[in-house]
Amino acid sequence: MNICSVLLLVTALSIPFAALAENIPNLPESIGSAPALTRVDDVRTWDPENMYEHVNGEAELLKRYGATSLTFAAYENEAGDYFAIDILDMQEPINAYGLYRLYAGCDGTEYSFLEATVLADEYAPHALLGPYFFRFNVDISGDSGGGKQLVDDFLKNFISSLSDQPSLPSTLETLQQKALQPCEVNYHPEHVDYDLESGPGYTWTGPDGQTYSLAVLRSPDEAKRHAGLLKSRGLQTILVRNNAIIWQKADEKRSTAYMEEILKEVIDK
Amino acid sequence: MQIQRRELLKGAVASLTSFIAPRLSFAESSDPLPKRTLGRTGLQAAVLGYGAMQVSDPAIIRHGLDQGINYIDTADCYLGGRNEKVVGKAVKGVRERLVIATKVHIAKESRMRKSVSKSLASLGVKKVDLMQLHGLSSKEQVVRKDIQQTMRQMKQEGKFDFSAVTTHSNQIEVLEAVAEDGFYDAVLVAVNFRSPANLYKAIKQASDAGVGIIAMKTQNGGFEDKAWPELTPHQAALRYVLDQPGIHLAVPGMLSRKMVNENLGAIARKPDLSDILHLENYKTDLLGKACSFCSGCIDQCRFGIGGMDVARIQMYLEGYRDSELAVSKGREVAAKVRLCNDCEGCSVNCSQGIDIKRSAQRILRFLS
Repeated sequence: MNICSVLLLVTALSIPFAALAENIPNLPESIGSAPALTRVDDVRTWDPENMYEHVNGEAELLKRYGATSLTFAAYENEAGDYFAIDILDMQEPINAYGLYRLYAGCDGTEYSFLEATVLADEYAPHALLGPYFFRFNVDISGDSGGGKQLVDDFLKNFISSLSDQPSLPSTLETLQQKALQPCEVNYHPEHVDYDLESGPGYTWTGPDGQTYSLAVLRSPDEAKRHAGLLKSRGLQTILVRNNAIIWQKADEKRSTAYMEEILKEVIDK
Repeated sequence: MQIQRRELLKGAVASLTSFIAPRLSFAESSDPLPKRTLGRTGLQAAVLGYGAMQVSDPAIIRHGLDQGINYIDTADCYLGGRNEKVVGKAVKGVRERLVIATKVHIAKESRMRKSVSKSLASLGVKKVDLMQLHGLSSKEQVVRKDIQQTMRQMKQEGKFDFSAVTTHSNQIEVLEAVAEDGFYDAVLVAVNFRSPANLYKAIKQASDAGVGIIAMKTQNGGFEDKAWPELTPHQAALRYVLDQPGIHLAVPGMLSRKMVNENLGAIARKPDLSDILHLENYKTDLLGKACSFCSGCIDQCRFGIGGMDVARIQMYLEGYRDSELAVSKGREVAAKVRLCNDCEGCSVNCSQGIDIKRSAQRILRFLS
């Protein structure tokens, strides 16, 4: 390889990485202090078709949830401390919420930090911010707090570079108020029920312990057609109101006042 | 066209031969879901295992278990750590008849120990059958004595019965190292009907050395969805892998009861000659067109970039026929495509027959 080829290679390879990283604002060169961790290697970004190079089979799941890019940066210091971030652009805040809730469930400790929601963990905290889902990999000697300060500092820096982000749909807030617990409400952008191949929607546990699903379609006609399709696939009890449909996983062949109440609140809001 | 016909017949004869011999093991068994011995572990695993990675509903997994599946694959990191809890719910009451495999990442000993303990707690079990080191891609990782020592100690402490590894890239090197080194008892490897012959050779050699071989990503080699003679494309792809020498079981991901039943159908129904020929025809059709993402080109490329980006854009353009996607993604990797185009002589011998330089030329013409 001659010097010209090397220069050409270096130039060629630096361009796509810089271009791909532009949609993610401002990743710092260093983070933390005493001693600070500095970034190792360039920031790397993958799209849905080659995301598997970084996350292997998990790429399929991330694609199902609507991920359009994955950006990775890692930081280290001389003491061997390590801090790495995967930033997923999920296109829509509700997709990011769906992935975050899938990972967080109701088991962990969550806290709010500025506009972000953070799931604390000793080694692998997660965070949700607008259309972005963050996964951290933290290994800091003598810190069993999951590098909370580093996570918060990183998010603060990230948020300061962001413009206003779209908010979550009001449907989510309604369902969170009506569910057994707010953290019980899930969203899936592909199929809320794979057995039914139901399409995107919400699912949650109601105060009665039953599992419910809701889909919001584009029009009343579409809602009627979709309800008919799900019935043809074996679902017996499905309520339609305007452009929303609701059903119960157990399919007890009766509508319930709770289901009607949900529909009314989702449509009227 | 002549070359394609020759390749088709050659492949069909090879497939027919490989189908006949292992078919005997299926034919002899009256069990609708036959079992095989997982190498030197001695574990009796049904040939269809459950890849639980994306599943968040334990009822779906339980449906598979109720049909006779007795091997489940999960990991500490799936669904952010929640997948093991899902599996734990699914196996309640039937754990004793199951083979449970989970994973741990290479890290400092303290972190590995915490991860394994957390996995056992999440699964609700005292121990698992296989603990797999996740995502190995080099001989150096396989032979690391410090990691083997940690695994040995945890095994002696009763946390698991057998040590294993998983691999997604540089798989032949990892398989050869596991076979030679002798410490790990099984390998979870990504393989499908389009994988190169030397990968199947490495799998057989490892299996002959006593290593248990579990296949994943068995149905990721293609995306045809039109009707087939007896088997669906997914069923044929699964069955192809299971009928290859050395492979003990496969762990496809199954998100619904329908997917479980479809994969069970692949085991129950014996492929006939028309299925074999159809699969070979499909494989031949894909030659030169579709990247299998084996990463083999990266090491062969004198610039170390390989041809996967070029192959990917070609797939958008000629496979998906999505020119908009080809343009937007093509522009992102235009520098690499130009490098391939300007390269004096491509040193890559693509396992799928893709001519990288010619593809780069076509893409640049399209982009301009």
